[in-house]
Amino acid sequence: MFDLDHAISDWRQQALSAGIKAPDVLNELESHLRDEIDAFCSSGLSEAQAFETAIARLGTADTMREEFKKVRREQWLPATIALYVWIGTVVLLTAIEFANVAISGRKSYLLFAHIVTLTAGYFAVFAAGSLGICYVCQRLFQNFSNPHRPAFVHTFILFMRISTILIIVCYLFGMLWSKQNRGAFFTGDDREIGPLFALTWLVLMLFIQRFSHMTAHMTMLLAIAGNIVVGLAWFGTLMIAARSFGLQDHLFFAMFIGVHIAFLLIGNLLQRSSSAEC
Amino acid sequence: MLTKELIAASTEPLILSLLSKGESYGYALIQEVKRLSGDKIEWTDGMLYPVLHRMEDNGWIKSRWVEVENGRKRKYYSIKKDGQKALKQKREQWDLISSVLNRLWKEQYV
Repeated sequence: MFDLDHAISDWRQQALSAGIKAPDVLNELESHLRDEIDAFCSSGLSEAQAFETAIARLGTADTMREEFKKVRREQWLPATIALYVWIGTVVLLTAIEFANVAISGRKSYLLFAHIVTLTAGYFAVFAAGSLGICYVCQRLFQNFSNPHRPAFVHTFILFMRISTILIIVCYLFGMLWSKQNRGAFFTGDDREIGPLFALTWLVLMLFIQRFSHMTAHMTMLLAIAGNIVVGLAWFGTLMIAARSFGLQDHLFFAMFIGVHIAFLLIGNLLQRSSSAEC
Repeated sequence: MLTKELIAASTEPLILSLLSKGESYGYALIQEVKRLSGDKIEWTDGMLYPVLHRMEDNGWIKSRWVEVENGRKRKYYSIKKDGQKALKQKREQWDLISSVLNRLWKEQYV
């Protein structure tokens, strides 16, 4: 006895193995299949025949994957620059920190690894945030209605993934260093809370990205908000931990947050005005 | 029968034109184009969705999931302001090509 739900479930598995992984895409293709099967059944085919015909019309999972591949992503200059600047910064930072450890011998290699991975992770979020700001600026002066949107979204997701991995690794190095030097993996220091705060945000963003369609507007909001979160996680916890930051530092920090909130508001206003005219 | 190239080139303006009349979903778009062309334009089912996704990424259209009968869901697409601009631009281009061809063919037969 033919079971349509079972057959569709098998087809989804095949599509997944062929590399069509986004649930949104699979749900849409399944919805299409069901519409087509309904139409074939209405014209007199059995459910099994209708399913086979609909699958043949849709194409195999491999064909579908190739069709999606054809829809190529175009480069967006700010995204390419951000990627290279981030790589350059990480290489430079690693070299400087390594020279510091090798020459002075004051820091352990664990602490070196912790600092490099943490800073690289935070810089990745800032690089993504700078793309959000570039997006707002571009929309201010010209239409962003071009094939750059996928490049923006893709680069943002890439930075988020890199940052999540680096912060997890940095946390592990930090815990080992803490055990060696302070006797416990976690001591509750303000500087230990910062990366946890940032990591929570990153995991939340990756979760959102996994289960929803990332529009350029949503990406912009998350990218700029990410800068604020990492700003709080990095400078905020350092300021709390040091308790000796001067007025200048507080002003800089307030300006940093203020500028990002301004960009968020401008980006939102641009989106609203664009939707209102629609 | 239309060539693959011509079908590919006309897909976006056709989708934008259909969506400018109101929101719709993939299967209905395929059927509507087939009906309007007297069965001469038949989009491959698998070709349409990547194009719709690219157009959504471009900010021309937006989508939302709507619950239909029996708890089933369908993804409906609608045109955005940027899509209307893109449609206007594409319409001008197609009008131009069409008028040039018309003039050339008229001259041939005069």
